[in-house]
Amino acid sequence: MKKLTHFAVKQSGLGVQMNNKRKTARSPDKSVLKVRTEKNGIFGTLKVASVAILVILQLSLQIFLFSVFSFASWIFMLISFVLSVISCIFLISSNRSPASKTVWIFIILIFYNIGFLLYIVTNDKFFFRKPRKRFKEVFARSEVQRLEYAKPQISDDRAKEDCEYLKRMGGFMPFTATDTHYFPSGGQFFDDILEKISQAEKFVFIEFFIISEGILFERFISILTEKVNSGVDVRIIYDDLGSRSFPRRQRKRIKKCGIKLMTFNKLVPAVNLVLNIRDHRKIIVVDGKVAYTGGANLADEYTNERRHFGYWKDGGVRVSGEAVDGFTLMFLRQWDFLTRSFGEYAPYLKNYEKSGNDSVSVPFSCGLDRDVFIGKELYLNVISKAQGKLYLMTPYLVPDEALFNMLANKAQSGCDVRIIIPEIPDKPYVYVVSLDYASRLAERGVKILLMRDSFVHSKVLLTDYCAIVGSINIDLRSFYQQFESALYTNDGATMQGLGEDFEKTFEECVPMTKKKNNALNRFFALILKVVSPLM
Amino acid sequence: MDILNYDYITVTGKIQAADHIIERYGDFGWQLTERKDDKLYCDVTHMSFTRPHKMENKDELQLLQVRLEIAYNTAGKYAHKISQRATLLGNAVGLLAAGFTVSGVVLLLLVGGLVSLICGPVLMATGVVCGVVGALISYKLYKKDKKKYAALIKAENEKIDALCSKAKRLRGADE
Repeated sequence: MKKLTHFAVKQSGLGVQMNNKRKTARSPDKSVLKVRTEKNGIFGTLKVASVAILVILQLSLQIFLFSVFSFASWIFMLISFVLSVISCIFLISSNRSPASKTVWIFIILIFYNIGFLLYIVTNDKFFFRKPRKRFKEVFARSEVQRLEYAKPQISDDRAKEDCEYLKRMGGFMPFTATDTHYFPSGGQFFDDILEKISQAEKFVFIEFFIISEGILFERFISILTEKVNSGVDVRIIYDDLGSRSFPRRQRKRIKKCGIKLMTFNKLVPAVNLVLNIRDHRKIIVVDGKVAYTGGANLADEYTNERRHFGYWKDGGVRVSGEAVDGFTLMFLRQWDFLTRSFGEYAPYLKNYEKSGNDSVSVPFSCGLDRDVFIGKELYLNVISKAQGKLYLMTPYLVPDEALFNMLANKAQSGCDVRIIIPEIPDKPYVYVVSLDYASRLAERGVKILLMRDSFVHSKVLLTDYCAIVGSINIDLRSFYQQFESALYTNDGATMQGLGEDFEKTFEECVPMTKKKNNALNRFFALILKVVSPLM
Repeated sequence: MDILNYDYITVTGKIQAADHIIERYGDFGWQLTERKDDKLYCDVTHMSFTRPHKMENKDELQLLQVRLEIAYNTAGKYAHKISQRATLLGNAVGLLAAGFTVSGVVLLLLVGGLVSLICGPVLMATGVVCGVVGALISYKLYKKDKKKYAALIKAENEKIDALCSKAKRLRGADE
């Protein structure tokens, strides 16, 4: 076996040999090798940038005009004052987090003549009122169609409480007679999905935050086209911002194949900032027999076939049995919301094959379609009840005060709290804040582990009595703004699979040391944390 | 391309390391299908590989492969660093020496007078001494860095060997 000496590397860097005399330029890149990392669809990025610029221009114009008028006339100044006071009253009585309220009051005070304007255009209470109303109509209609399911016998009181919470607050049914299977990587997750899709006979529902062209996309399309041609009803929902690398020609190609495609919250310049509200869910339902959710999106980096931030650690879960209907309902509601129609639900429900599994599984979603922040509250409920161990994996660690204190309190009470975060970040500015929270949690006894050479994108939680696998990050966007999907379960198969994955991943991690966040980073974190409730 | 049954990857690498890269990727089950030199840069080549989509321990192999790529690039970075400090110092001292010498010459030839007759040669001598001392220090620094980075590169190469051996074991393709 040949040895790669430093001379060999050095020579390669200097490019001493010439294969082609016409080429004389040497690559300025010092890397010895690079795996394909290009992001497809520069137009996607340009589209996002141009929409952002247009929104900023519109907002700037509004602010400019109002400022001019308010300085020119005492009437406008008075109007500004009154609107600022009203905004503050609304703000204080809102169900926002205390940190978010503080930041907004700070903004309204600093920009005293236009602060309220910023508050109004970013407020979902004003600009998401109609969509929320439509969601409620869709919910009301789908409630009527709900079928009866076997009542699960939950022996664990803690799980019973969690299920009751999900049922009362979100209408999410606890299902039994369901098998679950956990996948510790995006590769395994998608291999299984593709295998099941290739066996589909009636329908395939797919909902992703990100769809991006590449090999994985081609694999999906080749199988889905075949299925559509054989009469299978294939529907896809994607988020327009997340899927900015999903070019128009591919969308046309999909539609031409006969696949029904819907976009969530199209990126078009608007005066409001509801563009910030995104569908971060990941749901796949095949024939009503199996369903999936997890952290992975439909793009090559999730299966490590494209390299962005080292090794991409992801995961997901498959359910088969009664609980599939939970995911089918979630998808159909979103579909009806987007298509502004009321389709039939019955043909898509009760298609599952019952299993003898008596554990409980609750597919649930959260987002602005409801008045409560179910994801965050469930995390709080579960963390507070965990005994002995509490393991988490998350790409971002930006908890609110309640969650931060709960995690710290658990660790200080002797619970083995371990949180795995990436060593290689995808968003450096969020990473700075994450590391700051991580170091503060580490000081309070939480074991923070960084997965070496990897970007951890899994969003999973494991305790001694239950597990949550889904798309919910531990950050304020996931808790308060985005639409998310997840599975709550106490099924032994998933809990064991997740436990093994955690044990295996711990071996690839290094404990966080204080050096990781230096003084400069702490300063940046201080600034970024002020605005983190608004991110 | 049979995308359902095979995985494909394109690696862009330095020409001189290409054979080594191909051999190492082979340890991870990758077979070279095409190699094309870059159209713009003379020291860059593009290597396309394929391997079966379904294989044992694929997740572990992918993680090891990322570490292999990081180790290659770390070795490349170290190789670049061998002469970096010496070159920087050499250039800085060279400029300083040239400055002294030129000032001395200018003073001696253009200004004239007793002060310039004394200061000119002194500045020129300072420039020469500065140049010689700078060259010596740069050379010493180069030797020191070469020793330091050679050890680090050796460690990276050993890491590459260990990663590849582990990959072979995971694939059940041990020597």
